[in-house]
Amino acid sequence: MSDADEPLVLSDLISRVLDKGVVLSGDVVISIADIDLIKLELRLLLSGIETTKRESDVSLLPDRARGA
Amino acid sequence: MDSLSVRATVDRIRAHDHVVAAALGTGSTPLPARFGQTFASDAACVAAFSEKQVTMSAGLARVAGMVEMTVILRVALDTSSGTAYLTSLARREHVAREFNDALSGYVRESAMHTREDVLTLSHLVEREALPTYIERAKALATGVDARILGPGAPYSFGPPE
Repeated sequence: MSDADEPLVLSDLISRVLDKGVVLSGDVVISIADIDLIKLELRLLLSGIETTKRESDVSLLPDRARGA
Repeated sequence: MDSLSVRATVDRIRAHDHVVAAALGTGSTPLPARFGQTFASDAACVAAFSEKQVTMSAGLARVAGMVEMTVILRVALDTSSGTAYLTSLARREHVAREFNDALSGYVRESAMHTREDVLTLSHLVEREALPTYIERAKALATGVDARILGPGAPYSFGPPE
């Protein structure tokens, strides 16, 4: 079974984790310090340039879970 | 409940998704939690979950045996005139509908989200149907600006809040 083979860029990851998913507690409060924003912007810029590169530490479904 | 804010660093966001991906990798589909929730203790977390047990059980049943696939369509919206804009919007809608129609046999549930030039289709797909889904989606993606992501955990198909 093959997967989609598309690299998951940082903006994909951010939008799913911050904007979606189950909320158990009453509030979800996150903070983004200035340094995080700068780093985030730099990374977004870089991942825009490097979309053909698979980001090795953002993993897709491993083989054994692909419905054997 | 204490309101502690969680710093949304790149590393922490990756770590959060790693845990979700690892859970998916066990072969059993989890409901991903949203980033940034804090609890006073493990017990408090368990208690919060237990309070919503009925909803959570239903939510888990809904995604059992499923994975989420994402189709990201980029169709340039032409802002040169009102007519051009509407035409480009219609074209984007047409492409999205083509994807949804062609893949409907393999998709249990779908959701759509638009933001500026980007239209995102989220599909809940049975694991067994995945190879065929991917094959068809890739075929549809030729000639349009479409990215197909996944399989991943069902971030888009959680229980109502």
